[in-house]
Amino acid sequence: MTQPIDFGSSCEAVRALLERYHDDELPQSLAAPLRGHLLDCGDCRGRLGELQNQRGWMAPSEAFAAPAGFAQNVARLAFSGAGAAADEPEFDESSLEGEPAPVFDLMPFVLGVASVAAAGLLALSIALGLSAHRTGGAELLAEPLPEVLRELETLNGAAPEEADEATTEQRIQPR
Amino acid sequence: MTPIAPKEDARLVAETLAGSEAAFATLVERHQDRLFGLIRHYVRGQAEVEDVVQEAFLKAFSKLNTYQSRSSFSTWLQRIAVNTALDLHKRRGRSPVQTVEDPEATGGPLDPTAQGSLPPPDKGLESAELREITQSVLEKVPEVFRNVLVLREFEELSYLEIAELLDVSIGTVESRLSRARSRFREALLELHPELHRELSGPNPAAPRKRRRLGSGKGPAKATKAKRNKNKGLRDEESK
Repeated sequence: MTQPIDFGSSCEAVRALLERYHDDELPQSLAAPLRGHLLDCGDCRGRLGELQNQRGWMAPSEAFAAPAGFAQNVARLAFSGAGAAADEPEFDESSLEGEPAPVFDLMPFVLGVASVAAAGLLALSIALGLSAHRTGGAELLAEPLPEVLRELETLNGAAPEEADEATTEQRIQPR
Repeated sequence: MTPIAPKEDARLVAETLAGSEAAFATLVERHQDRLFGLIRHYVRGQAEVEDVVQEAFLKAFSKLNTYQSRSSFSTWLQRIAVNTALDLHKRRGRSPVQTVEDPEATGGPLDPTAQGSLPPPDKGLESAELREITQSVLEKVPEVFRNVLVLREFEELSYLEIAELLDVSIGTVESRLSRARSRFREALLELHPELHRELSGPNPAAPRKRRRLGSGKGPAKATKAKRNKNKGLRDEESK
């Protein structure tokens, strides 16, 4: 047999359960001792009173009755195919689940953005390629290689011809 | 309102699927009052309520073959109707206030009375005026919380019924409800700061209307009667 719960002076435990008590969601085994605590504790009784006061501020909006013939009209629409039509553009399976459906499908938007970005990247890479080609070509034409080597040899103190021959030999020597 | 018997619903669903328009009309007739009552908390005006309820029934019809009798037909239908109303809000860009706090961040229920005392509405306050106040306060409450608050306070559904309808756990319902009440209270005091002051004595500078918001007992008794009536209906349904 289970021991009856005694909240005693434990206001903290009572307040943790107060909303469930207020909503009539506590099992009798908890509700009865909690009620006992409320009889003795003015503070907790006050908290319960607050919840009751707040409920008083919640007035439901005006009720509307279904117009005459509403059911027959809906059934006629459903069987004339309007049910499927209503389903197609907006209805999502998630309307049957817990959470609401997204407002619109993002896929066309994402695909559009992706294709524009791809086209942009392609154009950019072509532009960069052309620019790189021009720069590389200009550099190669500006200074022929032997000239450069000659200058290097001059700097090292050797005759330009020797340097030229030496480099030519080096070039034709098999590895 | 006619008591709703699940077995009768199952028979009507089967007949509708077999092609009976009359059976579907009867199904609509049996549930229309409940849906009209529910959807009025989500949209304003009879025409809008009618549109949402009709759309919900049409959606239900088109998905009727997917309905499984795990949950009651009524719960299934209400879930479709609520989501239809919420979708409508989003389509119109009147998207409900998004919550910045995690609604599932529980850490135990909040104490909705922690922000200070709240007097009950004045007896002399006209019901239309009180409804207007409630609506304006509810509009300030993030939708995720408003949803449970409406289902609990207006439709007087149990935690279990709300959990089934929203497809969440009972613990989630409890924590959302607690936060919803805190938010409602905050919003009410923000829109009507005079309610704070009234508790610390009358304010001579307060406008006359404010005094009408003063003390007295609210419509709690009327809702209690409705709660008992609904409880009777639910008991009948579960039989």
